[in-house]
Amino acid sequence: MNQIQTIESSPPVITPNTDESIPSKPKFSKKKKLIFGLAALSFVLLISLAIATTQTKTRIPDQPALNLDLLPTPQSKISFSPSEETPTSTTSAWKNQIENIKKENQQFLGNPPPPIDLNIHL
Amino acid sequence: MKLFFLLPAFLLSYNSINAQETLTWQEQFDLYSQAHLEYTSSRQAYQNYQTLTTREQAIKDTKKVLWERNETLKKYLDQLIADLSAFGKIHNPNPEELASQLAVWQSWLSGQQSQIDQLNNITDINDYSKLWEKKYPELELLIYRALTTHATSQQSQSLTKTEALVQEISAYPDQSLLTQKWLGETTIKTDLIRQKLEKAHLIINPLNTYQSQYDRLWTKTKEELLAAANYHLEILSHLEEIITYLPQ
Repeated sequence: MNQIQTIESSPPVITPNTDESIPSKPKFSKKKKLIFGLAALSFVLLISLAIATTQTKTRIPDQPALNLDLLPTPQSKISFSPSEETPTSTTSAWKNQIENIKKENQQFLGNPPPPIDLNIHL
Repeated sequence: MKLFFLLPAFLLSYNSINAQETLTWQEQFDLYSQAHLEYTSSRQAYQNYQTLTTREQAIKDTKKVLWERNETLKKYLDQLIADLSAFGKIHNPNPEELASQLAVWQSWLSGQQSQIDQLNNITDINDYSKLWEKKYPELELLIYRALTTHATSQQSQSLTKTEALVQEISAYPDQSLLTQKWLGETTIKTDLIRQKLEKAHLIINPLNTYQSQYDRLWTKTKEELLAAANYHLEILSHLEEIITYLPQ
């Protein structure tokens, strides 16, 4: 009982710790700071390099400015002189003509008259 | 007030007439087939029961099938006239002339529709049917002549294009003797095609009007037309081969 009274009468006093063996904040040396800085910088550089590489791959090349003088007008016809015409283009045009004639020939027969009943009576 | 009730009925009938005007002949033929089924059924019912009701129904359904039959032919002629008109007057026989003859028949069929409306008894219907039956072979012959003319005009038009192509290929420089010989041989087949087309016209001819089996004659005509088409295809395949042998 006496012990309890002793405790109640003398409350514990908390005193600030002034012991230097326990560090309050972590402190970095200059060397460590340099290493961290370099690592962060190289990370940023790597990221920007990666972004730059992706953009180069998907980038649409700049189109040259349109020269309106070179565009054919609706009135003008693009024509080739016989000397410019290649034999391959001539033969392929002939082949196309042949295909067209073949298609025409598939539809020459019309439908016969509908099969109606001629003998309708009561 | 009466107008209020009549208006929807008028609009409905107007729409159905308009819808029938835009039908193709195949769609119209479906309507005819449906009407024919109803006619067959009500005629059977009348023959079985001979009652006033079955008789009235049979008359109504017979008039309907006769009407739809004329309508089907009118639509079919529409198509045939359009096909023939595409060729104009350039061929012999003249497709345009045949088209105008078919148009006269179309008017005749239109006139028949009002006659059908006036038929009121079985005797009238049977008399009308007999007259129509006698008249139809004339139209049928004209239809087959028109079909033949359409087919030959189409073939002749294509053949003219092929002949122009042969001329063009023949003018190609530095050709071998072999390709020149092959090109020359195409004229033999061109002549054969023309012979077949002429023969097709001779089979379906106004002089054969005593013949009643026009569908049988049409089968023979088709044989000639198909033979001509096959010769034409042979020429075209030949030309394709010649093109590959030309110097590049």
